[in-house]
Amino acid sequence: MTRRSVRIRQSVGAYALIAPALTLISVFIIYPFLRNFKLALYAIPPFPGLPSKWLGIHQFTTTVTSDVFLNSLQATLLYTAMVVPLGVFAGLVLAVTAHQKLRGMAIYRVIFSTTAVSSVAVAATIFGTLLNPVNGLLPWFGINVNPPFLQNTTWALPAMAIIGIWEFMGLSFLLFSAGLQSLPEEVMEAALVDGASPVRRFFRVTIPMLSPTIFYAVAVGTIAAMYTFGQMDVLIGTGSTTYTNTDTLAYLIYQSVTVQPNAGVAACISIALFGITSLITFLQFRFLERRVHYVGE
Amino acid sequence: MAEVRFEQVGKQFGTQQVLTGFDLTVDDGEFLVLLGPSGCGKTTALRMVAGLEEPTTGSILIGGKSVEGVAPQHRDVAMVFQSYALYPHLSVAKNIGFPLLSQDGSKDENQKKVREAAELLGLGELLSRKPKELSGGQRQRVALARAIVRSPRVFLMDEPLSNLDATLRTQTRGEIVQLQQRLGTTTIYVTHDQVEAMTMGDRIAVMNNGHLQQIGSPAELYEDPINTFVASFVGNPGMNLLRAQRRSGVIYVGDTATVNVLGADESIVMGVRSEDLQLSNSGVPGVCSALEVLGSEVHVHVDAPGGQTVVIRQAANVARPRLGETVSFIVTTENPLFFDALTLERLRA
Ligand SMILES: Nc1ncnc2c1ncn2[C@@H]1O[C@H](COP(=O)(O)OP(=O)(O)OP(=O)(O)O)[C@@H](O)[C@H]1O
Ligand SMILES: [Mg+2]
Repeated sequence: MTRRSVRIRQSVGAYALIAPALTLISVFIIYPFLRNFKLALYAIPPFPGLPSKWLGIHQFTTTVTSDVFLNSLQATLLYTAMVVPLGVFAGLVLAVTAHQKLRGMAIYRVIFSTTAVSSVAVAATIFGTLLNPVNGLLPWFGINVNPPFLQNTTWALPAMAIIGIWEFMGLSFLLFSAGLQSLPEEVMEAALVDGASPVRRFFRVTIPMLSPTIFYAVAVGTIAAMYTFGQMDVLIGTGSTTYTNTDTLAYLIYQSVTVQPNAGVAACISIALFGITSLITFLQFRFLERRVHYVGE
Repeated sequence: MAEVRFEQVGKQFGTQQVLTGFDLTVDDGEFLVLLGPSGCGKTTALRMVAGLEEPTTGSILIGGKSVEGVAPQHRDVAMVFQSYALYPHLSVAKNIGFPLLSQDGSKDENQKKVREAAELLGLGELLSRKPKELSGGQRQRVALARAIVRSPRVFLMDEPLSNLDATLRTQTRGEIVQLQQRLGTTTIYVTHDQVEAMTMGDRIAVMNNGHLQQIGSPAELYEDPINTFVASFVGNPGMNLLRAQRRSGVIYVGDTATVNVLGADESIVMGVRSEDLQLSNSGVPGVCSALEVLGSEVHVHVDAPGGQTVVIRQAANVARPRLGETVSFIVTTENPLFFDALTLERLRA
C-alpha cells in the first residue's frame, strides 16, 4: 500500500469517528449561530406564518444605538464588574480558608462548593425570601431600604449581583481549591522557613502562583456574568419598576421575543452580546494573561 | 549561630513510628551529616528543626532554647529543600532576596546582600532569569544563595545534590563545605549517599529505621562501627559480614579456619573490609558471581558458604577470576571486627 492511500484511509477513519459529534454540534450550535445572523436582518412577526420583513443591517444599527440597548449594556457591565471581582475574591478566600489542615474541613469544602451546583432559580428564591420586606431575614435584622431592595432602583442591581456572586463563588472556590492543591508544597514551606508572614505569603507567593487559576476564573466568570438572566427573571420580571435597572442584555433578548415580540431585534442583541463578550475576553487575554505566571517547567 | 539539640525526640505519623528516642547534639558551627537509607526519617528530623513538623515526644532546642510551638518563620533557620523549592514566578535575584523582605534592612542593603550571595555562588550573570530558565545545578545554587543570604542561625540541607550529575555533584560538594567553613554556620546536611557523607562531614550521624545508630568522624565510623548496620552501610563497598564459629580460639567460616582470635566458643559475625580479603589457592571456598571493573581496581563478588556474598577488592593489574569460576579467599588482617550473632552489636575484646 502506498503512503498516500494509508493517509486517506486514516483520515476516513478519523472523520467517521468525529461524525456523531460533528453532527450534533452542527445541528445545535453552528446552524443556529449562523441562522441568527440571518434573523437579525428581518423584522420577525410574533406569529408564525406571517411574512418577515427585510430590514437589512439597518435593524442592527438602530438596535445597538437605542437607549434601551445602551441602558441594558450599562446594567450588564455594572453587574459583571460587581460579580467577577467579588466572586473571584470570595472563592479565593474560602479556598485558602478550607485549605488549612483542620479537622472537619471536608464538610466546609462540600458546603462551599454547593453554590456551584445549585440552580439559579433556587438561589433566587432563597435570596428573594431573605430580602422580603415583610418576613425576610435581612429586614428582620433591621437591614432594610425603602423602597425594599427588589423595588429599589439603587439596590435592585446590587441585589442581583449578590446572588450572582453567591452562585459564582462556588465555582471559583472549586477552581481555587484545585489550584491550591496543585501548588508545590515545598515552595509554600520554603516561604514559611524564609520568615514570611501569612500576609506576605498570601500576596507574594500564593497569589502569583495561583495567577493562572485567577485568570481562568476571571475569564470564565466574565462570560457567565455577561449572560446572566435567571435571577432577574425570577425576582424582578419585565413589568417591575426596577426592570430598567436590571435588564441585562440576556434578559433584554428574552424581553424582545416575549414582551415586544420581534425575534429579529433579539437576534441583533444576541449578536452584539456575543461580540462584546468576545472582545472583553480577547482584551483579557491580551492584557491580563501577560501577567500570569505559569508554574510548570 | 547556634547549637541544635534533639532530646529524646520521637515522631509518629498516625500509627507509624518514624523517629524513636532521637538524641543528638550538633555543636555550634559544626557541619553534621545525617546519613541513612531512604525512608529512615532524615527529612522528618530536618523538618522538625525547621518547624514544619512538631515532635510527638521529646524536644528540640536551638541555641539552648526549646523551639516547641515556635512557628517556622520565627526560628531563623534556612532550609535547602530536596526539590530546591524556588519561587517559580520570581527572578533569581528576587528568589535570593525573598528572606530579606522579612528583615529590617533597607532596600540598598538588601540588594547588596543579594549581589554578594549571588557572587559567592557564581550566579552574578543569572540574576534576572526565572528558575525555569536555569539548569539543575544553577537552581541548586540559587537555593543555597537564598539560604545564606540572611545569615541564619542554622542551615538545614536536604539532599541538595541528589539531582545533579556526578561531576557537578563532586564539585558542588566541595563548594558547600568551603562555604560552610567560611560562614561558620551550624549545618545539618542530610544524605543517603555515604560517599557524600564521608567527604563532607565533621561528624556523621548514621540513622536507620528512625533510630540513631552511631555518631562519629568518618574515620571512626569506617574503622570502629558499633554494629553490623553501620559496618555495612559506611564505606564503599560496605564491610563484609561473615557468619562464623569460634572453636578453641580459631575462627571458622564454614569448615575453613581463618584467623586466630582468643575467646569463648560461640557463633559470631566477623566483619572484614574488602581490602582485607584476598583471593588465594586455599581458604574459604566460593564462586565468583560478579565482577565490577572500576578502572584502577576491581571488586570481585564471591558467593561464600551459607549463601553469603563477600566483595574482594583487588588492583586492576592482578589476575581476576572468570564469572562462575570456583575460587577461594583468605582473610589477610589479624584484627577483623566481631559482632554478636544475635544482637548484631559489636563485640569488643
Ligand atoms: N507526612 C507524612 N505522613 C505519613 N508518613 C510520613 C510522612 N512523612 C514521612 N512519612 C514516613 O516517614 C518515614 C520517613 O520519611 P522521611 O521523609 O523522613 O525519610 P528520609 O529518610 O528523608 O528518606 P529519603 O532518603 O527517601 O528522602 C517514611 O516511611 C515515610 O513514609
Ligand atoms: Mg528525604
